[in-house]
Amino acid sequence: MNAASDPAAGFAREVEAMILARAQRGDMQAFAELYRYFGRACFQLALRILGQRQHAEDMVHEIFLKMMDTIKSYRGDAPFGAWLKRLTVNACIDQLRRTRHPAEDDAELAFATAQSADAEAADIVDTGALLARLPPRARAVVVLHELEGYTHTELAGLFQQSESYSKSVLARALKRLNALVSATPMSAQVLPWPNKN
Amino acid sequence: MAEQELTLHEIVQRLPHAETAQMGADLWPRIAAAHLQRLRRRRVRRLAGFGLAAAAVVAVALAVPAWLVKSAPAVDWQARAQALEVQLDAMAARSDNNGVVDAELARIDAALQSAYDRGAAKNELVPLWKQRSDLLGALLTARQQQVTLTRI
Repeated sequence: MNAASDPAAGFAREVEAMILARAQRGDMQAFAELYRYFGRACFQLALRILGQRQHAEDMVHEIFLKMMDTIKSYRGDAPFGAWLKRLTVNACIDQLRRTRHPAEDDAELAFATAQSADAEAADIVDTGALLARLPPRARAVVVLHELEGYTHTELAGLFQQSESYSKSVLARALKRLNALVSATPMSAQVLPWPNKN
Repeated sequence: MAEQELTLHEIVQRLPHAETAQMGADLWPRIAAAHLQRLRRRRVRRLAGFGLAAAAVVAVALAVPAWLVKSAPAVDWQARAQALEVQLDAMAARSDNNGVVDAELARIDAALQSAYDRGAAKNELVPLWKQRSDLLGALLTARQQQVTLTRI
């Protein structure tokens, strides 16, 4: 994945101290700058986790309003992008929690209602389409663990579930993605990234 | 095709990235407008809260003196004056009359009578009853000490 298309690259962008100071004073132009820097990264990450453009856009709206309310509490201990990324992930997980189906608390049930892989393979034209085939929580676990580097311990905390739940959801999600990708002309087997707990 | 082992990251790299989904161009203006609207609402709420607090302070400032007056022991002064008068009457037989005190008592009684006739409020009656009570108290003390009260 190249840097330009990686949302993490957007979050990794450094922000001038002057812009942050102005934003902390409530300067709208500084907020607009921060949106220009990070709006797209927020959107891409929210889109990957939530799976729908409209939901992702609503999430960016919510995240930036929250950021403008809470930026005074940003102490600069971590880069601003990392702080905003954490805000984004938390907001997305909250959104998933608000709209969750009780069955999603059970890793097996979460996948039981999903359609067969073969029936959907033809629709997979990009990453978003691939991830969109997963149940919402499974998609969030895959995105955060495989693409954003979250550990199962962190995911367990975010979802208020056990680590074994997170591991089970990830394993099933990757199995499902593997089936989907195998059914496409680009035959492939999906495995978790190494060195993750 | 030979099956190839890929990680999710590699698959994501091979698939076209979801660049087709773009944010609406009007998203920032909407966010900024919502933020400014919230600021305005908060300012109005703050002003309303300040106004309510100020009104409450004024109301308390006005109510407290009235409450103090209302709760002043008006009946106590009257009862005390009457009790002192009974004591004085009991001592009257063995005491000399005091013209100055009698005149002052007469003046206060006239003022009280006039106030009652006018239907005066308590805040006018209370000071008169207090004056009468104080005068009788002083007179009683003087008589008990066998001295003549010449000045009030």
